[in-house]
Amino acid sequence: MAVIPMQKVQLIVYDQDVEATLEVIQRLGALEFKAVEDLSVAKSQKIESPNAQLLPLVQHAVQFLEPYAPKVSLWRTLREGSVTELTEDEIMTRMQATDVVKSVVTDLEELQVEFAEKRQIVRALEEKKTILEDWKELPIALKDLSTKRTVTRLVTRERDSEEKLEHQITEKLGETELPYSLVVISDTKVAVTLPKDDHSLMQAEQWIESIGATIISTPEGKETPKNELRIVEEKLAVANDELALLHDQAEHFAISHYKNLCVATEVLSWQRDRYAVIDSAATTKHTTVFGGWLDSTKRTIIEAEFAKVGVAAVFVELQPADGEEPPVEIVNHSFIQPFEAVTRLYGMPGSKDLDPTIFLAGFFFLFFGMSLTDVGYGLFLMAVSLIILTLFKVAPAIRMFSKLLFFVGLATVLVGMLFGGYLGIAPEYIPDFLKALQVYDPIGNPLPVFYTALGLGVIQVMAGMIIKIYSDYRNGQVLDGVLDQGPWLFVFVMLIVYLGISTGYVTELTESQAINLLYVGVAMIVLASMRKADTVFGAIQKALLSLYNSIGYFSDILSYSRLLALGLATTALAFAVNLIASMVFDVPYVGAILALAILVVGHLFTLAVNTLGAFIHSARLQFVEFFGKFISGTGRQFTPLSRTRKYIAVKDD
Amino acid sequence: MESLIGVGLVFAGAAISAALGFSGSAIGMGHAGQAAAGVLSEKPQLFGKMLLMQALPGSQGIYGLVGAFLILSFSGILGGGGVEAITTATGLQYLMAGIPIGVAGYFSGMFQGIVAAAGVSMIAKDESNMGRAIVLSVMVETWAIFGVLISFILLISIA
Repeated sequence: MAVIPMQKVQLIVYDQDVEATLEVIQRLGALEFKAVEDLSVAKSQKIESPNAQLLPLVQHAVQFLEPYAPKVSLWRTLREGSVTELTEDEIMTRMQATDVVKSVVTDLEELQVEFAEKRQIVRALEEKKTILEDWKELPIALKDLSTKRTVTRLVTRERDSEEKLEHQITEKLGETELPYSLVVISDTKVAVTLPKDDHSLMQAEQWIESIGATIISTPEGKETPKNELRIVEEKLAVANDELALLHDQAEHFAISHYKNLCVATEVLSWQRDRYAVIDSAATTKHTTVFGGWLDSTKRTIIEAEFAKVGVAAVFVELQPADGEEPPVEIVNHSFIQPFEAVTRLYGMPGSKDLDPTIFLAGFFFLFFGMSLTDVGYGLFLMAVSLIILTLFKVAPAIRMFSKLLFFVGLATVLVGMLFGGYLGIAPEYIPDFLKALQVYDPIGNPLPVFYTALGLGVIQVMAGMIIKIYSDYRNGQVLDGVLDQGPWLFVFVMLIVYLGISTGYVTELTESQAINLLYVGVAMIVLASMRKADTVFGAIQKALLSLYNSIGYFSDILSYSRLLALGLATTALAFAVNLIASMVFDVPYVGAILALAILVVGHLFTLAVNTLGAFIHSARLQFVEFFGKFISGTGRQFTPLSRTRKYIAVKDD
Repeated sequence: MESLIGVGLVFAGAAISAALGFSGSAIGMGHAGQAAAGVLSEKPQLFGKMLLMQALPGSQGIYGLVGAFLILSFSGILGGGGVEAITTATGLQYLMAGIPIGVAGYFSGMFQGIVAAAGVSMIAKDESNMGRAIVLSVMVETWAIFGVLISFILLISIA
């Protein structure tokens, strides 16, 4: 339920235990490494991972086999999960079985070479076939295109001119004394036979190209294009059969090895990451010294694990340098944890800030509900979430998001009841017991919703100020916290009291008394802000700036009016979908089916669009209007040495 | 006839509020979305942050919608009753009330989008700039909120 305290540490490890120590550290994911700079010891030599050469080969093999991997249905993937479950012992076995992986990768490399060669042959044959198809009417054998005294050029042109190619060539070559003969295949294809003389040939080719025609490269062969085409087609059929055979082999390979190679990639990547941190270490005669930031809540577990594995490694705690900020990670109770997704979307709070997750959870829950305000949509979101959580085996991040979906679905149901939102169904069709629960009528009378939204804004802004006082108290600046936030809180309370007096709810004070107290509050704000100034001019400047803050608070609160608009948008869209469906219902024969289709598609669309809007705008109210009150900066995310998991899930031994 | 013109003017006020707000947001979100799409082609993992940055200039459209509903509600058109009492002069007042929120929403939406697009570049360079990028972008929105405020004050001041 807080920002995890980080310790700046050095980890001193006996040289022979480095690999085992890093394995423990990586498994527990609790130490972010940084280069050791201030030691009078030598920087460690670059040590390459023993499988540094193998990893890219395995990654390449996985990439090659991916298209041939057995296709698994979406349902089965969701039910059984897409990762391989392994115990720690099994992971260790895989790590040691690199010889098997090497042999598989070598076999696969041979297959890849064969594939590449065969594809090259097919491509060349296909290109030749295309040319031969174009020139199959040419009566000259390919071997006769170049004789002792003549050369025949195959000339073609795009269909971009009215004039026939034959006429253009005759006209151009007719201007010269060069002997030539033509075989016309079509309006755009002509075979031109010329004397085999380099100079004349070059000139003729230039003239031909000057009229926009192209001389194509003559295909190899002996027979006429028609006969050659038949030979090429036969060769192509054989090559394609061989390619299909290789394709089958790749599929068999994928069935036997794809999953194992994926697992090997992951295990070898972990090893690469472990060796990469050794570069940042320093060494003495017998030890390696690592530096970094330790998640102090896991220190005891790590040390116990060191003892269990039997490695000689100790942590030495250091004092951070002036201005040095530790990385930030947050942890929350499992009930609140799903709302961490909202905090993480913004980024980590500063290292001295409070973790905002627990404070935003309630507000986010409520604001999301107010933005969607429909019982039907809320129930749908809850149902989707429950299906994912109970029936499917999904990644932890998706599981967490599903829990958040359940909460916001519940909020939508509860708020939807207060707003009378039931899939946009008109009030006259709603049962009386549900109508009795309705408090707001957002379409008929939006003002109460507007005032409620602003009221919630006031509550959240005030909550932000109180949290800021607590945050300052934790950082030993309680006086600053009270003097900066206290007067504003007083003014807010007096404004609420004044509103209560005006509406007759508060009778203990008179209106003039409330106004006088309000003046006192403003004076307190001015005086409190002046304490930080060194000069009279500075004090006046601070006083004016502090009063300018009122504009910020004011705009913050008005921003909550979006809750009214988002709720209204959902109601209006759902109502429109029902209206369109009711209009097509009377169409003969297909009316009912059309209406059903419109209802399903329309409501799914409305749900998707408004759920996204509700999420984004509820999050925005936290980031802009709430976080700004008590979060001083954006912290750097804690990035410990850990196992990045894409293909493997670790199960208990 | 007097009432018809009055109702027409109220509709015009609601339409100005909504249409200008929506247009401002559409332009602004277009600017931010274009920049976000560029970043996502290189860094798809930033989708969540980019989506939020694109959504920021959407507020003006929402305020426009709020304004339109408030105009229709205050005038008595929503919820029924009181339509006959809308004279030309009253209708004109509702029309005027729609202008601050509409015009401020249009321009602030457009310019907030430009600032959000610049913020997108900040985040692309360093993710931890998210908070700063949001604050800079939201500064522009302040003026749309003042538009909402003035429109609201005008509405409650209509006799």
